Amino acid sequence: MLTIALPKGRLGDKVYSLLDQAGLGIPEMEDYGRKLVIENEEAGIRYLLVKPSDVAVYVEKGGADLGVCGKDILEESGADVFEMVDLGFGKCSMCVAAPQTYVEDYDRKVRVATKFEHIARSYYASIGRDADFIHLNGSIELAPVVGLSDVIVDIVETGTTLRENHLKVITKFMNISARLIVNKASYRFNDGRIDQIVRAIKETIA
Amino acid sequence: MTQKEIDLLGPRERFAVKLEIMLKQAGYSRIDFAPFDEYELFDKNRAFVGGLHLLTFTDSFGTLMALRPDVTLSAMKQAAARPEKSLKLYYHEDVFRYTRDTHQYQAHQQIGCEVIRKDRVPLALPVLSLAQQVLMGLPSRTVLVLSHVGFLQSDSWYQHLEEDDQNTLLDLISRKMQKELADKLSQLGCPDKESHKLRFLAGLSGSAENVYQQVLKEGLDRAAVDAAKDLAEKADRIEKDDDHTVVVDFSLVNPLNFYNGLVFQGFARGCWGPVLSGGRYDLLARKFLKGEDTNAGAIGFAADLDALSPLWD
Repeated sequence: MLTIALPKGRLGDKVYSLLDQAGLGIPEMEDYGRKLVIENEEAGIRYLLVKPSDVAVYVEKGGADLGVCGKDILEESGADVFEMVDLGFGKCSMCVAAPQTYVEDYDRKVRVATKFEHIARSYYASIGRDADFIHLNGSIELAPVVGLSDVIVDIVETGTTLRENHLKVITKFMNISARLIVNKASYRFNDGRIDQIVRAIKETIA
Repeated sequence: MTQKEIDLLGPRERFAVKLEIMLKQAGYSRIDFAPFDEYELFDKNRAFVGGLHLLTFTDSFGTLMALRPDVTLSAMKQAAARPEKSLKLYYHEDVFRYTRDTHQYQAHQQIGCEVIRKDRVPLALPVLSLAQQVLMGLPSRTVLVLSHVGFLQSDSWYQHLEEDDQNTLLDLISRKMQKELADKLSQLGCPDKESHKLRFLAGLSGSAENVYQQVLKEGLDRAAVDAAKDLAEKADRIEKDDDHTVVVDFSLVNPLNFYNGLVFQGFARGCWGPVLSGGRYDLLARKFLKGEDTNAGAIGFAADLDALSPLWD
């Protein structure tokens, strides 16, 4: 039985549609309701519907053989998995954003609010900039508005949320999209099935 | 310990005892270490231990010490101080590693072995065969994955890269990120021939003989052919069956400033990561055995008893 972790929500629906085209669809997915585990024994496939930020954990720890999650989740978690396909959707960017009037002050540490603390730390270390990091779990755009931070590090898709909160992108430093990830041990024990799936998905998105 | 006494133990302890017996029967002598060593030892060899998250403390003499993240470095230090030209050592120790997802340090129980020779490089096949024996003793299907980093070490273009760029390429290869690897090689100005070779090998895995034939068919350079041939010959001579297979996967790469040639990992069905890791690290041996014959070499592996835990549940 091959276990695939799908992110709940819009991304998961899009991913399932792709997997269905690649031959991994199962009838039980058409009306899964509130179920979190949907399987078809004959097809040898089981889908897990999980919180998007948990997909990488499920795959890394063997709860699932494969999964789809955003590059942001992967980089933040540092999950030790094979990252085998860039699915090309869910595209956005990891950016530094700040109020419209913001001017960089190199005389002091920059205060950075973010949900992605590891990514933010790596970025600021790469540019040799000393920073204090404030971990927030949501509405990150609010932090510089109320003076909690100077800047934010967050995902930007269309930029609408930033504009509506009078923020601007200072730097875009990472491209993000949905990735197919594979557990390293599962890859060894599926007798080439995972390679077949990867090929089928690549052909579908080509 | 009698078989009756061994049978009284839990499955994890039984496995540990049987593994130690296997190692003794293969001529390895046990060595013991304190759980900590000087911080400097790990700082100077941080690439070998995969980074530098260490639990440190200052001893009563003011020396900065660290709880050991790896045993091999301590074994090398001891080997350098011992008079013997050839050492076959095994250990049963805890190593202390930082786990990123939990932000915690954890102790991992390892049983491992090292063959260290000061006069010539040790043979790989006996160590590899022993690793496969360990896997075959597990109550699960297993796969022994072989790789060879010679194709990178002999590549003059790769060797001239900055260390950060080399590490980035290693990371992309080890995660099977083919598209990103191609983009990065292009960004670094890698010549077409080298780029093709690196991308082809990084994506190549399967039975050893099949991999070797594909390398021959692709017309790659001598280093790549020799690496694939070496692995095919070794794989052919290792015991295997339907439940305990051997494959080659060139995406398995280890830090090249210490490892050379053969690297390998063992996987057991039911365990989510590698349960056994090893390789040839002649370069590390020569670094420690300064002044000794430059033909010195070392090879070894360690089994992670904590990684094997799902098999005992």
